[in-house]
Amino acid sequence: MQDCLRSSRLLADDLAMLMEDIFQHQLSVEFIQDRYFDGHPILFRDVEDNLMQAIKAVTDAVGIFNSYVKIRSELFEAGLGHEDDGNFAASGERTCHLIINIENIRDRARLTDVDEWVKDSRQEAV
Amino acid sequence: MTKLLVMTTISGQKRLDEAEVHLTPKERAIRFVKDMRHYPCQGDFWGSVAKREYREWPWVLPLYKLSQQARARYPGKSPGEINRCMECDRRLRTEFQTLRSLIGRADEIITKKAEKIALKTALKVSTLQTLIFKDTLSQTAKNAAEYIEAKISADGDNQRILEELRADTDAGLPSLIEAAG
Repeated sequence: MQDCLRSSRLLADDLAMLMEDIFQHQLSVEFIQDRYFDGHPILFRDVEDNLMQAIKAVTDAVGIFNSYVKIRSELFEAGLGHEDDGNFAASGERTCHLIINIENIRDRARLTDVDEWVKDSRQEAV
Repeated sequence: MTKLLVMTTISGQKRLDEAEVHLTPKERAIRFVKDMRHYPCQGDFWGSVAKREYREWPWVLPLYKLSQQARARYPGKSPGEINRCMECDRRLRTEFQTLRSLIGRADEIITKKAEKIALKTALKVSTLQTLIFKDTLSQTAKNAAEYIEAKISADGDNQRILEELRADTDAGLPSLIEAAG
C-alpha cells in the first residue's frame, strides 16, 4: 500500500511537471505572438495541432489520475477502504491532496527562455 | 470604356505596389506567417515555395522590397546619403530576418517539445494503468485476507467453521424449496 501511495505521489509530480512544461511553452508562443507579431499565430498549422494534441494528452492523463485518486478517497470516506487510504485524503477536509489542479498549474505557468529564443534569432539574423 | 478600365486597374496596381514598399519588417513577417499558415502542413508550404521563382520566395521577396524602401527613403547620391541608405537597408533587413528566425525557432522548439511531452505522457499513462491494476488487486486481496482472518480468529478453530458450513448446507436448498413451495 505504501508502494502504491509512493507511486501515486511520484506520478502526480511527474504529470504536474509535464503539464507545467507544456503550458509554459504554449504561454511563450502566445507571448511572442503578442509582442512581435500583433497577436498573429506564428506556428505552422501542423505544429500547432501537435502542441494542442500534447496538451490534450497530458490533460486527459491528469483527468484519469484525478478520477482514480478521487475514487480511492471516496472509498475511504465510505469506510470501504483501509487505514492506509487515509493518506490519499487530506485530514480535515477529506478532499484528496494528490488531486492535480489543472487551472492552478495553468495560472502559475511562467514563460520559458523567451529572451534566449529572441537572442538566438538576432544572432542568426546578423 | 475598356481603355479607361485598363488605366484604372493599372493605376490601382501602382498604388498597391507603392503601399507595399512602405510595409514595415513586422508587417512583412506577418505576411510571411500568413503564407506559412495558408497550408495545412510544413511539407505543403515547402512544396509550394519550391515551385516559385527565387525572388518570389516568402523570405527573399521582403528583402528586395525592404532595400527598395531604404532607397526610397534616402534617394540622394551623396556619400552621406548612400551611407544612411545602406544603414537603413541593413537595419530593416536584420529586423525582418530576426522575426523570421524567431518564427523558425518557435516552430522547431514546439515541434520537439510536443513530441517529447506526448511520449512521456504515454509512458505515464501506462504507469498509471499498472498502478490502478496493482492497487485494485491489492485491495481485493486485503479484503479477502481480512475476512478469512476474522472468521478463523472468532471461531477459534477450523472445526467450528466447518460445522457452520455444514449447518448452512443442511438449512440450504431443501428448506428453501419447502419455504417457497
